[in-house]
Amino acid sequence: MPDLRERLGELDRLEPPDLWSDALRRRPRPTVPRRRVRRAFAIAVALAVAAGGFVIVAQAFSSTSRSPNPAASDGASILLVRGRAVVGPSRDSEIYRMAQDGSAVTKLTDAVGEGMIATSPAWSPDGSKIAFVLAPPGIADRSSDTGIYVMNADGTDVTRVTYGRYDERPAWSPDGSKIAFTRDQGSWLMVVDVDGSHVRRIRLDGDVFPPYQWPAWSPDGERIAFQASDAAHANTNAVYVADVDGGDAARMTPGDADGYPAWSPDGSTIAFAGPDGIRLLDVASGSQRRLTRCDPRRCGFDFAPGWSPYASRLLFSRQNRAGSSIQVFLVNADGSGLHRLTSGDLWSTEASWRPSALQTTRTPAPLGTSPALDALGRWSETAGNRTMLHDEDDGFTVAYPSDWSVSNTPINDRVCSPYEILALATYPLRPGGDAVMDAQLPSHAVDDLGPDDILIWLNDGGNACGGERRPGTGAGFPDRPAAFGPLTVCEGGDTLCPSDGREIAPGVRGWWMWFRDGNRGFYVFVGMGERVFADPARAQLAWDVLDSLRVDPR
Amino acid sequence: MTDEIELELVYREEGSRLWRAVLAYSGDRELADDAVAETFAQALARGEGIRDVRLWIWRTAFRIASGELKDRRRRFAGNVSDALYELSDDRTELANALSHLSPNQRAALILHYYADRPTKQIAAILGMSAATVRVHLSHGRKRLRSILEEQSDA
Repeated sequence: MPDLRERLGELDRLEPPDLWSDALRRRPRPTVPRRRVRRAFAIAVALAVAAGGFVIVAQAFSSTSRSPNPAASDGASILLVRGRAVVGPSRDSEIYRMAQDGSAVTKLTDAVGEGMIATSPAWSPDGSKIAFVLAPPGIADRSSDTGIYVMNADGTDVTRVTYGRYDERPAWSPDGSKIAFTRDQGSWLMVVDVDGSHVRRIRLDGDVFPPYQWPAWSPDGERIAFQASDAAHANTNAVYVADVDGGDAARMTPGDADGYPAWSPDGSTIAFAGPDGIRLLDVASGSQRRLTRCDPRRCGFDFAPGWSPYASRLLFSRQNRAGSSIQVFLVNADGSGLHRLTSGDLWSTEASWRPSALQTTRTPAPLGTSPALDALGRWSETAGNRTMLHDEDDGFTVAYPSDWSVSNTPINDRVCSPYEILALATYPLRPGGDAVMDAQLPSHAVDDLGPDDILIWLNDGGNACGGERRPGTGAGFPDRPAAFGPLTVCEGGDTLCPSDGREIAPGVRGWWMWFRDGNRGFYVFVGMGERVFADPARAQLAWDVLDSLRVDPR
Repeated sequence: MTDEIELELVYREEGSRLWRAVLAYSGDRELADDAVAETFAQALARGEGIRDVRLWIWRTAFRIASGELKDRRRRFAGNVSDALYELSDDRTELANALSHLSPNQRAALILHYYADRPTKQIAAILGMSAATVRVHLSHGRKRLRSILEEQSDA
């Protein structure tokens, strides 16, 4: 019979690290009351692990002279963290970009080469920068060296922003000037200017207790959503929203295991991870609806949701039931179309979609009386009341009047594949019009067409595709609008050369936006593909239709 | 009565054994690193507020580790506890055997047979009654021996 004292004596063969210096450096976690602290800490660590386990430390990440990664700039609009397939803190995680279909995966960081790990990537609002965390790979090393960094979207020009303790979870302000983050494993919510100056604590007003995790700035810049604990239920975590100065902190979810809040681009909805799936919270009413179902006993754990720029789809991470893998999934905002984007032996998590510049204008304003699509086309007019927009994924640059409110939703690729369509639709917002916005074209858009609206779709044969029709007009479609503006196809026939000097690149894909002034609005969908451009006549028609759209004043 | 010098002395005398015990309990090296470092950081912050610092550090370290393990189990809702259990880079028979015990059984056995703590102190460290500790010791002992015997027979 084995002697247990002797067998357990084998432990003496293990050589411990020197943790005294770590203890001296540390600021101990909050300790009031003890019971809550213990649990709060556990939650913080567990959530960090759930997210890929990437809390961490570091000295300066000095690769400021790295070469741009060309693959990172072409349509690879999703950021994610990948690490070795181990359960527990991943020790070699890096930040990657990939395309929306899960292809073209490209590594942006080389943290491992620096003896570090990279995690928590966050797109800047204009999509030109990425904030992230660099840290040493071991928990015991996570002291003052864990910091927030910012790099270009192609991985170049890495700059350190914070020098605190356990600084994690960067979240950009909508104007791109500030970054919210958590400090000391969620003990504090902090804000820093992007240049590293003006580090300050957000002093939360209300019954809300650490660990604070996953700050998310509201699109209007006024509030911050985050995950925290309730004093009365210290073993729980819920989603909270507070003013950016910490005032009026309010609990938003009733559950006791809710977290990972993510604002929809228009600020109306917060996606969050509940104990059995991703849920969508209507901020105004407080009502919830289920997006995914993932019961821990049968499925695993869904977490870290992130919206597509146009709010029609969400990315999220799913840990399998055995806890041996985490992969990124994609689902439509109505819960349909769930499918996995990543696979393989590596963990993939913390996925986020590159924002569209379109969503950065938020204030509703009356629609202009000028021709809407005319404004869309005059992208070279950047001065005055025009605002430049650029959608990197689609290689499409447009402008719109700066007093317009813009939101948008992506076209559903299934409308007419592959992008051999052009569609324009105007429609009055119906009550609760956001539901329309969130819907996938074409069905809802078609349903909402008014008698004065225009809908034109073209397929390969130049005929309408999909079978939808304009309400009140039978099966027919309206004639081609008469008021087409001037536009020519460039020499060679593969690009459009408007007379105003615009240059539209070939290979443009579907692009779709949505305008509103609070109680009315209109869709614009432009679908242009290589085959469209290959046919000068149809390319001409496509652009002509764009130029023809008019928006009436209220 | 705890200043930094005294606390460092406690660390030098107890730190290694405490770390190994927490590691054996949690099965996770990083968790053990963090629990022990955090324990001493908290002791430093409390200064003279601790009466029996040696008992206090054991209790605090095990509480931190226990809380973390519990929450991982809750969050992951799978076999995370077992999956995380990697006592050393090269898994030993002992690590494998310990991983088959309940956390309380594991803690009680480690504190008793490795840290040489009497039942009463184990009860104080784990926040349970001495009678409960004895039950965990009894059941854990029986199970661990059985597993180790199976391993040696195999």
